[in-house]
Amino acid sequence: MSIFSYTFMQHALLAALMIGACAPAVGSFLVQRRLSLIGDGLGHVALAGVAVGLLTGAAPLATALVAAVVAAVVVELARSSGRTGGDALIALMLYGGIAAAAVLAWGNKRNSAGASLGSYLFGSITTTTTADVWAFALLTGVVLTLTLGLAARLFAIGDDPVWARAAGLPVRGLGVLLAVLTALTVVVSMRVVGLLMIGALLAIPVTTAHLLTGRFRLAMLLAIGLGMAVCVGGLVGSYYWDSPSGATIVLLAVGMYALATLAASLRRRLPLTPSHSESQP
Amino acid sequence: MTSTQPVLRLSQASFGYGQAPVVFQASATIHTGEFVVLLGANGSGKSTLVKGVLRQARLMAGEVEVFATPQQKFRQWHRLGYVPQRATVTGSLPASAWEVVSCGRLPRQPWYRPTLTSTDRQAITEAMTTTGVASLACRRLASLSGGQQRRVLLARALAGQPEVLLLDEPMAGVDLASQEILAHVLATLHAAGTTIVLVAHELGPLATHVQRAIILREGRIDADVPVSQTAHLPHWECHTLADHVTTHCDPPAATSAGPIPSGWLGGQG
Repeated sequence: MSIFSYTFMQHALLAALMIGACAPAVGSFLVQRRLSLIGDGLGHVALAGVAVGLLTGAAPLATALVAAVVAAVVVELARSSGRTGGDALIALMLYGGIAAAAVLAWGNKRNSAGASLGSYLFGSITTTTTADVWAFALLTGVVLTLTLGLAARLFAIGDDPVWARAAGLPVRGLGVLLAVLTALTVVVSMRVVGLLMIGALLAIPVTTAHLLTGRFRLAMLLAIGLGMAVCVGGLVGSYYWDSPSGATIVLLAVGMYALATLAASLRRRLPLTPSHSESQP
Repeated sequence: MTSTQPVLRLSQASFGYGQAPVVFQASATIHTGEFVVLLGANGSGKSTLVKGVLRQARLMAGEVEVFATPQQKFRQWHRLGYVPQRATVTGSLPASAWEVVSCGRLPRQPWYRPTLTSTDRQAITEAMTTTGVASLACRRLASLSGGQQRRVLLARALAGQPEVLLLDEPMAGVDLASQEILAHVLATLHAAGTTIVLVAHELGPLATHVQRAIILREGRIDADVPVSQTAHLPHWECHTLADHVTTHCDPPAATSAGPIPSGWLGGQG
């Protein structure tokens, strides 16, 4: 295919594959805990981190990473101690983060930091550099190794945290680990789909997979496959249609969800699959 | 019985969630091989007592020893199998019965091993066969009946091959058929040497298997008696044991001063 002869498209394609795999891997455990919006909250905090980077001249990716990881750990500790609900904490991050980013960018108007923030809001995958690709590869390696390697443990603490604690599993430690992995994924995904649509990559492939199978592990692998497919498909589509890549990826994911809903409802109506026909809530 | 090793020892233990304790100064010792029921009305603190042992409720005063180790220093939690009152199922989330039961192996697996060994698989299959849910392995937990879900949770605890089973209201809201299966499974496990501690507000099909009843009222241990003895009392029905005690203010321990082993009575709160 001719479009892959461009270096920027090769970089973009690699980035899309990696984010397409990472986001649903982490998202599987977030959806399980009903925290699929936490990615958006962390994305907004990361934006404030980006603004700090632009203001001080530090690397925006690094400051965003620090901001997101710190926020993720604080939120997980507050949530697991049971004092504040997950939704209230997400609201705090969403509005605190965007407000901080707006104030920081406003103060830095003359340096056109405000304009640069736009590329983080909606993503700019085609500006991925070789250095970015290597950084993404490192983060992807860490995220996939830990989510797949510790899948059974992360599943257990999300499925029944009370039992998991009674069984002596490190519930709080694993929760903090998941929060940090979410922060890493969010910062990487920010470049691809933009922080306004990060939640889509974390949640939509996972909820699509949940329509298709009743087994968690299988759903997780399926979600990773779907995530990679929509990211690459959306990227290629955006090239030919000359549309924004992040939004195209998200629309493709929504389309896939709609198809899966259709498939699941058709399968329920067919009398051929007794094990699934009984799966009422 | 008193000569065997104590599995759990509570001395003047108070448990609670916020500031105020729910269980006050409970003292009791449970030995290896016993089949004990914690009886009491709603809000009597019987579930909190079990949760306190498992660190779900906070130990506010007194001491708890698990396998002769202070609770704070105890690390071998895989030796205890906990069966919560109900599964945390949400219809839209996938989790097969097999996946839930396989969680029971985690406390025995090293964290760095991502897959199940053949020993793990064998233990999971055995646990599911014992509780009669092997044929449901691939089904979504949410699609199972209340009784089937309870048996899956029991299988999860059994998969870890615990020495002690702690069950929170295993019979509540379960159809009679499942109650009888559960009672049979517990009796079999007990015969094989597992210590069983369960919370209940009535005995039902368990009446013939339970050896000892610890009766709670308003957060205090009110009586600690062998069940076989109370069963012989005239007009006494075991499944109304708790109701009887709470309504008549006449604990069986006081009325039956006969052959109760002193070890069983050692823990009057």
